[in-house]
Amino acid sequence: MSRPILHRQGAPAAAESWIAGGTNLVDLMKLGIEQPAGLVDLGPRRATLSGIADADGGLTLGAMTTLAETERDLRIQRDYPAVHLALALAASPQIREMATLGGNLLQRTRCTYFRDGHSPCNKRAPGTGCSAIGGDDAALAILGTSENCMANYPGDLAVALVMLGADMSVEDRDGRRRRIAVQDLYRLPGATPNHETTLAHGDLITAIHLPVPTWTGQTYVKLRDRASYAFASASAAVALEFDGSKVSSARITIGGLATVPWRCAAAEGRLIGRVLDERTAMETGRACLAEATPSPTQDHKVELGARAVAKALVVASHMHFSIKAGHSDGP
Amino acid sequence: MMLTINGTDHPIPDDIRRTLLDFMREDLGLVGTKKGCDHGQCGACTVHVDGRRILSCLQLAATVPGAVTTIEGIVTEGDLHPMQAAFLEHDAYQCGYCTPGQIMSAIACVNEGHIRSDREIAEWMSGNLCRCAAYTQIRAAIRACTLQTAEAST
Amino acid sequence: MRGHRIEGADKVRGRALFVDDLRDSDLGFVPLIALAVTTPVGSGTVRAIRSADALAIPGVRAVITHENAPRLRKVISLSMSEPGTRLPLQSARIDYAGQIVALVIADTLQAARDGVASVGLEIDAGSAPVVILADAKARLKSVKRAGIGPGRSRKGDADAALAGAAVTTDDTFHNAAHHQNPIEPGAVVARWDPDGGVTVHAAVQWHHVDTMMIGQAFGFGWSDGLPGFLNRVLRKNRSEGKVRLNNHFSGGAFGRNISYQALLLAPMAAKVVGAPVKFIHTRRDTFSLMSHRSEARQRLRLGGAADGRLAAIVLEPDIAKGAAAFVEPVGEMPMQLYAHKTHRLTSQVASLDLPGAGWMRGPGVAYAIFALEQGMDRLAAELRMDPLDIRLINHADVHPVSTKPWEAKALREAYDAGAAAIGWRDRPKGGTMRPDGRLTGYGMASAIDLGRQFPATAHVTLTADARVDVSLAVSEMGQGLLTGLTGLISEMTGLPTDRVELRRSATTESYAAGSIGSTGTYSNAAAILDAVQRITAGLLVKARKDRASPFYGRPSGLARLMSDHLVLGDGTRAPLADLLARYGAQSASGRAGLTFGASAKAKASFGAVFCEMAVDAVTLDIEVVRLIGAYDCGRVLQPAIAQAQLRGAMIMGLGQALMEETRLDRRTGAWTNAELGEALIPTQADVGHLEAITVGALSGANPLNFKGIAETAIVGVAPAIASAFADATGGQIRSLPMTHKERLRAVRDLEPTTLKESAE
Repeated sequence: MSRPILHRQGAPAAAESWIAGGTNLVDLMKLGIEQPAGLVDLGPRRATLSGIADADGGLTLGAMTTLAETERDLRIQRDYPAVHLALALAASPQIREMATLGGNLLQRTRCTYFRDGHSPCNKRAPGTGCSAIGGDDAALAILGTSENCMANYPGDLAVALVMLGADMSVEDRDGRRRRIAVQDLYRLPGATPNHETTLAHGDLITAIHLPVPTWTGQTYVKLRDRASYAFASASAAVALEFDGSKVSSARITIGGLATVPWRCAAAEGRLIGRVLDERTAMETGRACLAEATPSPTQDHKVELGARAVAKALVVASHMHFSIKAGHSDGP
Repeated sequence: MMLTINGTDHPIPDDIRRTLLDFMREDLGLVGTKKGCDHGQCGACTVHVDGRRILSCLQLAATVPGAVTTIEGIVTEGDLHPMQAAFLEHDAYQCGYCTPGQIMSAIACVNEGHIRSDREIAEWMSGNLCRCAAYTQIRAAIRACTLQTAEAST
Repeated sequence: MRGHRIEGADKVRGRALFVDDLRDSDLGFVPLIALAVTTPVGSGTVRAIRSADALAIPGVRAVITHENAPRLRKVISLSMSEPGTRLPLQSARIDYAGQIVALVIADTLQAARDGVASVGLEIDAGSAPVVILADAKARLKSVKRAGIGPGRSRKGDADAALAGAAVTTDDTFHNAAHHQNPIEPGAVVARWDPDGGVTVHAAVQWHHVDTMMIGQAFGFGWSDGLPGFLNRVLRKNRSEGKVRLNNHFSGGAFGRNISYQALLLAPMAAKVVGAPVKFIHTRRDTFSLMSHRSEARQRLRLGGAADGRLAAIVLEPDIAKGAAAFVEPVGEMPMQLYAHKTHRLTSQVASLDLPGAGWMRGPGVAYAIFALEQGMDRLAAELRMDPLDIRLINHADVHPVSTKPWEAKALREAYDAGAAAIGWRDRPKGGTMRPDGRLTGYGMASAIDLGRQFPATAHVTLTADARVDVSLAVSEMGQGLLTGLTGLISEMTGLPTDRVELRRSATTESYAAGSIGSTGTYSNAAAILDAVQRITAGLLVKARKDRASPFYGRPSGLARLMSDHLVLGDGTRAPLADLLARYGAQSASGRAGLTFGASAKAKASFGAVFCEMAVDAVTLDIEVVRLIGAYDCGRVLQPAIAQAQLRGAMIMGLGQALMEETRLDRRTGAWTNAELGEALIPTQADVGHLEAITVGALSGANPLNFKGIAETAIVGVAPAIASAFADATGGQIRSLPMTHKERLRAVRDLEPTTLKESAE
């Protein structure tokens, strides 16, 4: 148990980590799952890496902006309700004051076998097997799983960002910047569940870019087993545009049920040109789960996910038509 | 590097794994802040950093981004903070273990303005578990404290 | 400002000290830190424990395993706790996952943590553990008794009555295992004293039973910690008083605040290293080292006459049992709630490879009444009766089994008060659309809990300067016992509360009843009252012989202390201060409850719980909009504290209904969601309008006229919530907690209806 070293500048060497809010990293260090040899404190870079700025009709969010600061931003509340709800319904007020946007995107799974520190787990100890398969999989994924891993992605924000088609700026350890879609950050577990993202060691997310808000109905629905301070049993982020009474554009992403934020492109396409009544919403929800591979103990999760999507579609649709019906202060 | 807690500067600990919570409790003897879960899942260890509420169990002492205030630091010249007085008056605690965290969270909740309705208070106080479940009394204390503060400032 | 509780100002200042808060200045020494190493698998044998790496860490003092641990002696556990059947670190056998297999002792918390992470375990795996009832068919055994409750009982021929009943129900209900989860994870400090005794700092609910357990395990004999009167009769040696258990504030309890093992591990560790040690539970430890409320399954069949009267209750519980003798007493209460012609209770218990199960608020009854009340709703539905009416028609005017009259019963008042408060008779039809588009449902259920009294002794002294000093080793865990007893002592002695001193760290002076089963205040108050009555009687004897006293020559009678005076029935009075100044301090030991409350009358607490719910037809998200409980509480000591107890218990009932479950891995036997972020308990946001109404306060059949309240109030909440869901959606709940999974199952066949309604 060697003590890690703390750096206040530079980039992490091999076996070292960045630390920003620390809410996930410190938790995992205590569990012995993360054992960094050193930490590079991003605190000194907070001034340059945080803040929310208008950018070509969209918004640029500094990656060290906290979830709470972002949630409080009036532009987020007005123009990006799915993002706002994903933040407001995440974790607890205290954690949202600490956690940064960049760190939140990299939040690791809540799979009990990953967290217990000793069970065979291909994500934590590659090649040891997956204890979740055939075990307590009540909280685990039914979409995007492989024979090596069924750990779910637990976050809320990324589900909304992927739905919006947001992208982000990444700086590599030599200071070179590139832009990638948030959706492309996440890797399916496949044969290498330990490789969770497409970032290289030392890469740093510096900003998140929200696109121009063209939606007219948008929301995030989070279902969980208690009213607050709980991870999603299933969630859905939805944005809709309409041509008259018919859907002209739809974006749907599922959270809580998949190994990565799960975009439902095929089901989105089926909605175009249709009137969105409750039955269509439910059908679309079921279509979103078409590729689900639940274990016998996860059967109910297919229906739960479908209902989360259906609810989000209904709410987003109501939002569009109520704005149209009288409130001109919509976007 | 120094860390300011309740107005006093302390050198940060050598072992950077030391959380703010353990640093305060084990090294400084500030035991008013409680450890319930040590993993950010109960809220008992809530303190303020530059006025914002955070969980001291998930905060490394070496990377605290501002000045820390704990339950020991909100009493002025021996007088209870109005929120402490409201908790007493409304019996907003039972065993008292989560209470310091509840009070620190409640003060922040008021400062944030998340007090427009009982429902809003409830949502924004959900990061502090109370197994004795003094929840309705906690809401009453926050409402009363808010009213009192509002009257005092008008 | 004092607030409602004696210790309130300290608590809001963060100055109330819990065991892990005690510092050098409080203890007089700095203890080493001990943490547990636990086994990840639930069966087999420890082949080897490699401690060299841990011992090489600076600051690590020792690693204790079954190989080098001090031998402990057999414990007879009155609380049916795990040390009564298995003692920690005494053998290589693994009985359950999460069992402690080593203890690391170090100078600092961090060194102890590093030590725990460096201990290597080699385990010879055994046969697969069996940890859930679904896997335990071969282990189910019919039992005569289930813990403190009956395993079997009958009244008449219930099977025949069921066969001949006009209407019948037949359902199997399931309750998941879950944990008490107090927010304080708990710690125990131990130091061996120069005289060979041991000083222990802990927060325990039943001081003397735990003292006795420590005494037995460390060879002081089991007389240690026995109540004085039993001790005098039974003691085999003079070692009593060697276990000095100092009781501290408890950060919640609800059945258990610390593990029983911890009370033994801290002294063991202190013995090995020859220095004081503090054993600390991590949050994860609290799941496998502390007890839990175990899993139970109940098949319930009810037979009713056409008018709704119960002709038969046939209850067949299967109850999981862990490594302790404790069994969830599911059969204790259900036959006492309603008048019925016949019943049959047939329980089976499966001994599983789990940690010892134990007491949790409303043991047995919280499960049993969920099943019974769901059954009553089904019966009412069959007969097209209102749920409240079927309960009223089956009201038990006398005890349904013994036919004894009730000492006091205000259940009808509770039904009336609760129904009026929620507007039961004018409630909208189940499934009615609310303005926000959600479905409305209403549900109700009855509550009952046993009225118990436990033996207690109390030592009371009236000092010469007219103060009252009471030694009583009680625990304050948030139930307000310190405040309640202080108020009562003030009332009994006629002295203001600032002249009342309640010492709660007493060890051998008196035997306090445990703070268990809502009996603590009542049982202890009865002993104090007995002591006070002995003192007043003694004062009167002296005064009647004293020519200078107004009592001189007065006929004997019952004397009372009232507003600083000793008062005789005929009105003769003298200032208490004068009498004490003349005769000196007066002491007496009082005792009560030796019969455990047995009497010619039946005793129980009752209640009625009503719930209004809103359900989203699409997501099946639930909001408990209003939860109203009306409880027959007997005398209410301190209204604010009674409210707190009732509300807290109701919210725990809400947790039982909606979310509380600790899951198990069927292969390893380990608790899987063993952290507060995954084993959910209610948050502030889960609680809507909550109302606790007290009724029955005026009935005055016993001297103190108390009833336990904190346990009764959890009962009835889960069935009321389940019923409200059924009313809103038509989906009947069979399994708790009723998470989305259970709700989806319940409405599966109804889905077109719900969807159609919500689409309108």
